[in-house]
Amino acid sequence: MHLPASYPGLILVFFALTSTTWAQDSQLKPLTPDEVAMATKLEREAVPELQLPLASRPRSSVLSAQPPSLKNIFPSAVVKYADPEVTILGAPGLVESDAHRRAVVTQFDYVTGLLVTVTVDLDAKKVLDVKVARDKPAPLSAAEFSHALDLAIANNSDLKRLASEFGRDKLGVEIVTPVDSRKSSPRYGHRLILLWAETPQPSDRVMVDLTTDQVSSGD
Amino acid sequence: MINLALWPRLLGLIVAVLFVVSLSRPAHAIVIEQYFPAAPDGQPRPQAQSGWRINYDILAPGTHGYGRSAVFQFSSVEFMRGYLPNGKPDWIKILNNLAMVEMYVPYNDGTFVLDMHGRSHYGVPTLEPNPFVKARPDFLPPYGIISGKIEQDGYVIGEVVDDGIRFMDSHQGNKVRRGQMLWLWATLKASNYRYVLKYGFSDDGTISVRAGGTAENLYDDKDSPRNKAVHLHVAAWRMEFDLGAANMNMINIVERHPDLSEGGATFSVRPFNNGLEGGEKWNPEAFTMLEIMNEKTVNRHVPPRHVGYGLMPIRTGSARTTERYTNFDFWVTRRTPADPRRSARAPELKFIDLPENTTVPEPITHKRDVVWYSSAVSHMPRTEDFGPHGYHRREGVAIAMWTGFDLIPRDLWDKTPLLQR
Repeated sequence: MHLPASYPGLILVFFALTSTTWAQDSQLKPLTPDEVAMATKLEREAVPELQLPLASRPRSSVLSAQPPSLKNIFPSAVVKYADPEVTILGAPGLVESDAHRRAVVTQFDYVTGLLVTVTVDLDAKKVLDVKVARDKPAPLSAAEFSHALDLAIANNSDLKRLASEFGRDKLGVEIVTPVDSRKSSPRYGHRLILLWAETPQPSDRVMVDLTTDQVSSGD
Repeated sequence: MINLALWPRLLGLIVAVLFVVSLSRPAHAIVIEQYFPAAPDGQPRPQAQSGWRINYDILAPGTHGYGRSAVFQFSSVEFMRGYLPNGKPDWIKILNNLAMVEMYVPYNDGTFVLDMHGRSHYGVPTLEPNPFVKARPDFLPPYGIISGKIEQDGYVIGEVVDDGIRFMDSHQGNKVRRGQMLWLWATLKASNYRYVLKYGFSDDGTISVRAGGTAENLYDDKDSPRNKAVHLHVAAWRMEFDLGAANMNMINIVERHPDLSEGGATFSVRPFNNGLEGGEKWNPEAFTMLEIMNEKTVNRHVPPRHVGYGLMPIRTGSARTTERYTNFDFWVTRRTPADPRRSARAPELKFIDLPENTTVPEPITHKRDVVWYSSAVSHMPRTEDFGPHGYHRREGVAIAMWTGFDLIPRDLWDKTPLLQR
């Protein structure tokens, strides 16, 4: 017994129909590593000041002004910024199916306390928009988190005990990234991390100021 | 011609290909259909008088631009308002988008947290892959509801419940119609806090939106004027109305103005912010509400009226802080702004960007618009948040406090819904 020759065609039709249904996917595809690398490259080219110490930045740049709470913290030759974070732009149902892939790169500039946001078109490989804002929490990178945890363990006896007993990497740590919005505050514009261990045992809450590397009680 | 013996292998191959392809593709939206009156499982279901068709997602971090948190997003909400004269269900699309897009938490000491925007990098080892709490059977009530289940995504719970008296008809001997509604809810984990996000879909077309904060306080309670344990939870929602023609919606502010010298009152309906993008404040003495009226779609009433929805605040106050996005309680922006810089980064999804985005306001009349609404609860820690001794944050749980709003039909139906005379 043989199947009619049209069956392979039917299979293709079935596949095409299924694919059409799937084209109505509800979630955007996450960015690929190549897209993240492209977005980061475009951002660096768009905001070259971020790679420069404050003293070398053009006076006309918005990334050259420090609030009083950031004066005299960084030596003039220091370049300090957080690793950028790259996010897909848009949301399911809100982006046309034929739209270019776009991404948003956000980066915290320690020396000015500003958040830089760059929107890029990944298909056209060009920068669409650059924004600079104060008083917005910046994404905490893995490197910053690790440094903050090390500072907290070194300066808080409760966390030090837990890290010694269970191992640093076995601590289940919760993080909150508060922003101090009082312009008169010595922490205004600083990179603040409130962290504590939740497992295997709850710990004290510890406030780490990554701008100054100072640690204080978070309670 | 192919041999029939190859057929099972071909089928197997197709299934395998589909499986592999599905792994590399994003997930589908969950589609829910709920009709009213609803009956418990196993009991005969009456003929539907109204119903909802709802598409939603729990968007994982990294798959959207709302912020670094996960987001509970509705991408389509349709309502069945009875039947057309030809006997077919009368569906109308109400919303193209609805999501809680920010939870801004300002503390009395001047610090604040943004629980949607402010989460950390994806990949920081302490974070869970999806900050929504996995639903469990014990999240459902043991009794007292019509039906309930954990939805396919594993995070959302659907509960169909009795909603008390929908109306009492004095012309029919005080005949009562009890209401029913579907609640879809999920819980956002934000470090120490848990936010229960509830969306209620009633048999009369009302959509109830609520956010409740619970779990452990961030700080111990202290007795001082700047007690940093005292804080607000400011929830902000983003929504896009369709109403049959998304680019034909007129957005108005409706208010009551009492005449305190002569008595009586007037009410006003005026274009939101003079027909421009921007914000407006809620005035409790004016019963301020937002009206979204479609200038194309009409109801089946005789004579017909343009269909609409009213956004009715349910709030105990208004949060005002140094952050400019708290300057207003209602905001309206363009879905696709004319400004090329803005349109390049559209859709604009972040509540905290509203003041900057509306610096040069654009006309909103007969445009596809986005409505934003924020509403807060003031959380002053009390003994009920703590254990029997002292005021340590770990010793107790903050009881859920709620805020939100209702979207109520306005000239959507042809008559009193569900009333049979």
